[in-house]
Amino acid sequence: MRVRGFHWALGLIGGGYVVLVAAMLLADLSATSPGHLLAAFRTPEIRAALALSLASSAASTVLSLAVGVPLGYLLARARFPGRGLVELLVDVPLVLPPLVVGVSLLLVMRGPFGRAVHEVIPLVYEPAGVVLAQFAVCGAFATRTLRTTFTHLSPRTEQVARTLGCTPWQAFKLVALPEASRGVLAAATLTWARAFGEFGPVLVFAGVTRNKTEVLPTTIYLELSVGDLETAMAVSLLMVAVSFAVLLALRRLAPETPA
Amino acid sequence: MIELRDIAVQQGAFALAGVTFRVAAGAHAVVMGPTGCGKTTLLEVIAGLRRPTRGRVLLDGDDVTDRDPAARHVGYVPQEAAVFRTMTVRANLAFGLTVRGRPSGPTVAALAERLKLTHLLDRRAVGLSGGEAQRVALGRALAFGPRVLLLDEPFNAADAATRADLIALLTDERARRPLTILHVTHDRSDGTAADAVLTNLFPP
Amino acid sequence: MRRVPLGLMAVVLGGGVAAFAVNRQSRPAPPLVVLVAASLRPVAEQVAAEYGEPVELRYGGSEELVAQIRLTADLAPADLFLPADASYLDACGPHAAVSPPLTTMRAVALTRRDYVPADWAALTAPGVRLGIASPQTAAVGKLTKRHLDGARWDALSARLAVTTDTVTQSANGVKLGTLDAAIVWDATARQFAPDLVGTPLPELAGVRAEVRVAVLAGSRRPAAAALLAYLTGADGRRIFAAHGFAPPDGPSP
Repeated sequence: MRVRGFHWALGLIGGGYVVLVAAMLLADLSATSPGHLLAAFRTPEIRAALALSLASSAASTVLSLAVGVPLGYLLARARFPGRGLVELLVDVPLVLPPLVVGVSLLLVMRGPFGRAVHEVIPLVYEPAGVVLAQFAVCGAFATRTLRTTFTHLSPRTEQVARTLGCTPWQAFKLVALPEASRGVLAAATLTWARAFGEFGPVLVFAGVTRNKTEVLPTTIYLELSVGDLETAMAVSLLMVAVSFAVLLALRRLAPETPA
Repeated sequence: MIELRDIAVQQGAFALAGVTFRVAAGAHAVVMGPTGCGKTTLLEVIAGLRRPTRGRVLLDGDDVTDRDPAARHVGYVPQEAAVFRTMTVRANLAFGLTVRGRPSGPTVAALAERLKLTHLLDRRAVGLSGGEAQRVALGRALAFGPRVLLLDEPFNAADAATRADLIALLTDERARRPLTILHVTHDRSDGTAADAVLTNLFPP
Repeated sequence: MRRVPLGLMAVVLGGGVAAFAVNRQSRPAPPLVVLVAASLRPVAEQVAAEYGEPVELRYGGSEELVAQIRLTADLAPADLFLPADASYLDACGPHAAVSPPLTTMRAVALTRRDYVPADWAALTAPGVRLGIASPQTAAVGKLTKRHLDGARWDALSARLAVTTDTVTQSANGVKLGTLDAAIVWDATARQFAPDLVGTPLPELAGVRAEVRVAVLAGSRRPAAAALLAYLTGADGRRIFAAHGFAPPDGPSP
């Protein structure tokens, strides 16, 4: 009985937030109409934006994991000079205002290294730039999540694997990485969601060209710029629906074994 | 044979200084000492998981101080068992053989039989009891045929009967092939199983 | 089960990369790049559809586009710049060519249909929640503040519930009901018809701005001048008019 009272109290405190989120969704729903939703989905530019949103956030998620796994592992396990500095640096994208991330990327591209890269892979105002802009922010999310994951995994199993004949690479691949799979999945989920909704850096770095660098958050911006609130909200709801589907699918991939 | 010459480890406030001892080939030696005195650290040094700040480690006469843990042929059973919980019990037992590309079937089957793990072979190692996990860890350390076995409190989750069983298994293993065992414990009764008891290794 | 996430990710990544590769290969010769204020998108889209040559439209807030020109003129050069009003043209240095005015916009009071202010006093009456785009970032705010004498601007300021980043944002505020009225361009008001209505008031009559298009100094494409001529000519006027933009007039009376 006492536990029930305790849970009610917690529910009241936390429930306020749940109500807020639900209210926002309902308000979005009331600001549009099924007709606008259907029309939005039939617009070729918006369909292209959806496709680019899905492709770019998948690509930036994979890139974020590709750097987040080694970096998170190193920060959790290794002691090296400058580690504190590295930890601070990878948190910078979490703190910087999104627009500043975009402008900073543009400034990097103006430098000699950026120019050389741009010659090979055109990034500024190009579709590949969407991925870079998302990755610049999402890499930090992935690294943070994975560092926590590896911090909570005991290094002992890897050490045993080493005594059983593994190279450090084998121990990492055969033992540490499978043990971290839930953390990797959590990082993938968080990173993907962030990439899918990312707007500021994408707007500045990849620009806004329909059928080329337009992702769904860009569509919303474009529709709001001409006062088409109904279409903007329709696209927002489309984003919510798609991300629900993707996040549920990711959750189903989660290994059912406890950590 | 396990031989330590003047081993010292310094890590933060913790220090191990001038440990020297020798365990004869084929012997089962028990190391006694209170909790936190450095017994686990000593095993890590022998297994190659921790670099000593000074001193040499010799196994069967080879100086292995600078050798990679993978090349020392040392079976290690840590106190927390540390089973590979994403794998089946079978994969755990076979690990030291499969990673070297050697066949594991008969060895694993025999070991599982003697460790009473046969009924668990295809289960994932995640939900095992403490005693089961320790038996898996012991089997995993033995399966690839190490010349040295390092045991860190391996029986603390076992009842008296199981303990006697496992000691018998270790004795049996030593009779069949060259195997030197170093066994860390804080339990005096484990000493009765050994043919050598090392005390006062850790000068204050 | 264990291997599925990584395998799936690999497939998704592969698909993404392939999509980009296909996207890149299928692109023809580089089109003219036009930087367009996001609020002028309907006009620009129709121009791009009717103009014979391929045109790439890059949208943004006018001040963001100015920043783009400054930061990336040599990395990813653009050819023409069509900001929300001509004042932004001065902000990004000299141009290869600047068009005559394409349209003239006048400030109006934007409200819902059921609440139309009869006069200036009604607009600035106590209790009215007013909005205007910030005098720092948007022409309508800057020009309104400059045009109104001190006392009138103070009366307006006293009713300001918000100053927004762009003129469309204050119009959105009226549409959502968070504002009762906003000072916007007549062209903005027409974009929000029929829900909202723009009322011209004598006090705001002198607040007007022009839209011009410029060929950027960094453009190396002779075709840019042709597009500028198209926008200035009969076709350009027709398209601007079709989207509610009044024809350009002479200097303010």
